[in-house]
Amino acid sequence: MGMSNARRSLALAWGLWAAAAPVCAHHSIAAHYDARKPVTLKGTVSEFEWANPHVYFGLDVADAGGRIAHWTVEFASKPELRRNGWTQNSLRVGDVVTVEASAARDGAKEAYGKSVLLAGGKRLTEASNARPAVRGATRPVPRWPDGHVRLGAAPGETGYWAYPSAASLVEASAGAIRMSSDGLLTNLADAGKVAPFQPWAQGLYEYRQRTLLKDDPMASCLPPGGPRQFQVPYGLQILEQPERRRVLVMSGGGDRNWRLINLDGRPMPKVEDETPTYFGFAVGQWEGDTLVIHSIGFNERFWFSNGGLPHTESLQLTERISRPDFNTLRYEVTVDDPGAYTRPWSSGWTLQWVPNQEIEEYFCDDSNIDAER
Amino acid sequence: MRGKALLSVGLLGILMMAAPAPAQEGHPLTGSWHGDWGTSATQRTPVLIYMKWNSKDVEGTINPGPHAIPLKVATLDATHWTVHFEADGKDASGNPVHIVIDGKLDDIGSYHRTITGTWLQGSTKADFKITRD
Repeated sequence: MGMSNARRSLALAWGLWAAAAPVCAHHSIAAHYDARKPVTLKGTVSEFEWANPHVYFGLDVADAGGRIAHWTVEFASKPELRRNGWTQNSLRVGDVVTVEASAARDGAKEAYGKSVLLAGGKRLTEASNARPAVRGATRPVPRWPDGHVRLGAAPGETGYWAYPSAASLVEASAGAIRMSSDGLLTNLADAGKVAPFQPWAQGLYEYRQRTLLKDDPMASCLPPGGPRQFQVPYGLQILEQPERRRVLVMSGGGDRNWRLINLDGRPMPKVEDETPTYFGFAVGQWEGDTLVIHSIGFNERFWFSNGGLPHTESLQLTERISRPDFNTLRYEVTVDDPGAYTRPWSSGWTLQWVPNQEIEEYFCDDSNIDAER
Repeated sequence: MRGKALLSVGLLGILMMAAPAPAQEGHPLTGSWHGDWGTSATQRTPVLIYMKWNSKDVEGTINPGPHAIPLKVATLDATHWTVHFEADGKDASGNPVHIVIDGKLDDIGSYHRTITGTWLQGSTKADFKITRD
């Protein structure tokens, strides 16, 4: 006897859910791979997935006895690799390559690639967040007809902001604290210097650091709210709409996320009247050439900075965005969250203009390698 | 007609399950915690503890509702991830009883983190485990 339409529909819906669920299992690179376990693999490319959030390829590696082991080699995202000269045609099935990589912590035949040596001698390297040199003469900062600075592209041009000069929020007075590009401290003993934590918040920050950021909500494809929108490696676009008296900050990393900043003079609502969201409620105004933004109403479902700094729904931000020269965006933020920190504190960094390009489409769950496991 | 209604409810339920559980990433104790306490594997009492961080203290209630018992003490030691709760409630006979709960927070980064430990209710010493919803 065949299934009824109702049962068939239910089965279909369940199947869709079951198929979709593991896609959310994007992961922290540091938690999955061990940089202290280098591995060199020479083999034949069996598949190549040019995808976000991570590019990966299969590699068949023969041992001395001729037995074939299938490895999966993972790299950074498309936008990051493209900066280093990768394209969707960089590898083809059948290419013989040598890969330098870090092995998986759990001993699986998986590795995070550092470089690929092609048969012809060309070497492709992992993504670099190092800023490229600014080319050409410095141009004047573009301005709107009313005189204030344009934070986005000038008419007829394209471009976006990327290459943040800091990996994570760190209190300005703390000085230089060494950490990786995703905010992992080189020395965990520095944790207490990062911000004026309440004891529980420092404990949680240290836990997240000690567990190599494995619980990062952004690794589960949740949005990078707050200052983190200005830290992600995929860049951001600032879209000003003076006719609507608002600014949109559009994330390059994440599932087409944007943040709305109201410039129409509306009053700031009470915190208790706002439904907390990932990007909060923001009002802004121009003070000279600086856009000053006040934000409230953040939920607690995201990390507001690389590195796992905690926050609560009491979080309020005051951000100051300026463009001191054509190629530089200055971002400064004061964090006021009495739920997690003992006093307000400030941080800041710069981003660099990437001319003649648009932020590219990035969907976190697109062909996620974890969905294949 | 009834079949269509059931189908709609079923589909809605499945689609709701498809949405990932939104994690709560703020104070580790904030939220609703379900579980039980008891003196043996078969003698268990279900319990709900609701807690919220107010920026200075953890406020909490055991079994919110008509028989709610407010937590008088609720502390978290984030160095060792231990908790200590105290409350004054009533036993099955309606007599006052002091409750002291000591536990260890595990899997802190998980939405469904847990607390396990000892539950002292009057002179009755029991164990407990609660999981964040």
